[in-house]
Amino acid sequence: MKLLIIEDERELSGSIAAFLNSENYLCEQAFTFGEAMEKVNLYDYDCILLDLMLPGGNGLDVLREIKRQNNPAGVIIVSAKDSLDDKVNGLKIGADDYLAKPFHLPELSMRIYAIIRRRQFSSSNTLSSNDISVDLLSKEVHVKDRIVVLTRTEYELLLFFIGNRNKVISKSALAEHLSGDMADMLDNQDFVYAHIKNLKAKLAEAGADDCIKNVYGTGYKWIE
Amino acid sequence: MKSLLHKSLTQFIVCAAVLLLLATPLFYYLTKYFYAEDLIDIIEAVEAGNPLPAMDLERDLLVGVVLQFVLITGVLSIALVLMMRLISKRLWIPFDDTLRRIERFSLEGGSIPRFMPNDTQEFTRLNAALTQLMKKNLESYRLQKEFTENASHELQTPLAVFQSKLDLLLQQSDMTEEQAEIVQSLYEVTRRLSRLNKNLLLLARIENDQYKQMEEMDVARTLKEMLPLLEKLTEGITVHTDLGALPVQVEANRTLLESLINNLIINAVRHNVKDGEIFISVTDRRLTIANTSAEVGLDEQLLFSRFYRPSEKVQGNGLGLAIAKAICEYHGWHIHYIYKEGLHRFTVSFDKKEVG
Repeated sequence: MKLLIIEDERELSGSIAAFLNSENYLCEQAFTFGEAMEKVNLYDYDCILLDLMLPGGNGLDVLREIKRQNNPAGVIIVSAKDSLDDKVNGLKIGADDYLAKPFHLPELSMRIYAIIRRRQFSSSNTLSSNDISVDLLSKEVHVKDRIVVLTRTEYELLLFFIGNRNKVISKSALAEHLSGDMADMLDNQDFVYAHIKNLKAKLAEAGADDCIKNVYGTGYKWIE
Repeated sequence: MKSLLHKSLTQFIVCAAVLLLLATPLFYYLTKYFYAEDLIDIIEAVEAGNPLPAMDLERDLLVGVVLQFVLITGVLSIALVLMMRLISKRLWIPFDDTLRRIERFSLEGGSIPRFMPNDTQEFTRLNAALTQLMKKNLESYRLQKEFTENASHELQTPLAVFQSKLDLLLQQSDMTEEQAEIVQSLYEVTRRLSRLNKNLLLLARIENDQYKQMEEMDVARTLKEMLPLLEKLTEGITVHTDLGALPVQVEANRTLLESLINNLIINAVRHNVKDGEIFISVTDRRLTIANTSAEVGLDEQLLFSRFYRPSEKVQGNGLGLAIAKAICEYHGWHIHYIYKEGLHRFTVSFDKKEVG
């Protein structure tokens, strides 16, 4: 999978690349408007991360260029501005997703994963890891052909884990993923722990191996 | 262009001259029939060779002089009073106009009043100075509002870098427990920072009037849609809801209405006690959120101000209620706080008139 990271903040771009490189993505970086336009014109990507405020130009113009070429790459806008106008404009021009800074890398990774999955029409709509398979259309979860009934939160949690397999996901990232903007307001992230406990219990009951590992209370890791 | 002193003096002199001219026939009449009457009689008698008529000359003269004095004083004082009233009223019209306009001026309104053009030096200077002052005020107000917004935006990227480095750090396979604890507390800090930043940004945007998109919304329905999400927060707390049967339609910005409800409920959760209760009701075009708490009644004046935290026990950045208030003011709603029967009660009334 080839990704292009268009982001002028080198440190952030570097972190994203470091995080995603270990997930079998091949990351290229562009730091300016000019570089971005050049790369978009020369190469094909599966997914493009696009910052809107670039030295030398507006990220939305890069997006317009991508769309003008009928480039099949999925585009995620990553912006510091988090304004509704930008979001609406970006999605109108044809971006697939919008992520406001600051964000958690596992969250970004999950979004990229979702876009790439959606774009590969040939791929089936099942996600599997270890003995567990998830039907994304019917939202059914099976463990070795046994159906497991999960709540919505547990289901989302499971997808987030599988999407970030073998990565440590911080409790903050989990809380934010589960409750969106609400997590912002929460002082206490213990609800994450409760949901994980329930998910683990249900999977164990269905006969799956325990694949969620706690990392000193700071984060969790799905081991495949 | 004349000075105020010059103008009032000129007008005064002109008025006095006109009045004295108008009073001249009166003086003439008075002099002729009172003051000079006896003298005329004497002169006529001497010319005709008649004996002098019998008269008390001293008394008549005295009466005549006094009468004339009284009359002159009277005319002059009446004239003075009338003139002063007339002149000041006319002279100060532009000043009154200026006063009325600056009384109506507000920074939030953002427009500088246009003053009445006039030819009095002092007033023209006053108007020019006021215009200048208001212009500068508006400019610095605008800059200050923009500054908060820009600063918040600029902070997002370093925050994103910081957070992404933490996410990377967490991937280290040889991390010790102590290190993990440090990373965890750094996560907490970034979370607080980004929450603070987001809240400041929200406030700045409300002040900068960036939520213009209004739609017809039903408060009860919005609340109903949000409750499942909010349940995640209210664990251990019993929530009683009374949403009424009728919709409560308001003209609102969706983001802001949701943020208002969020902030009030989170406030109710945050200051609650273990196994406490929250009462949410939407009735009579009012939204009321009440909660139990270990704290007693709070000062309504301070409660809605930024960064006010009545107790050190509770986390939160002290902006939630300030945001709630800003959102209410933005829509022309009213928010009230009351402490009654052990419950901290926040009421938003959606009618645009003040409630008693």
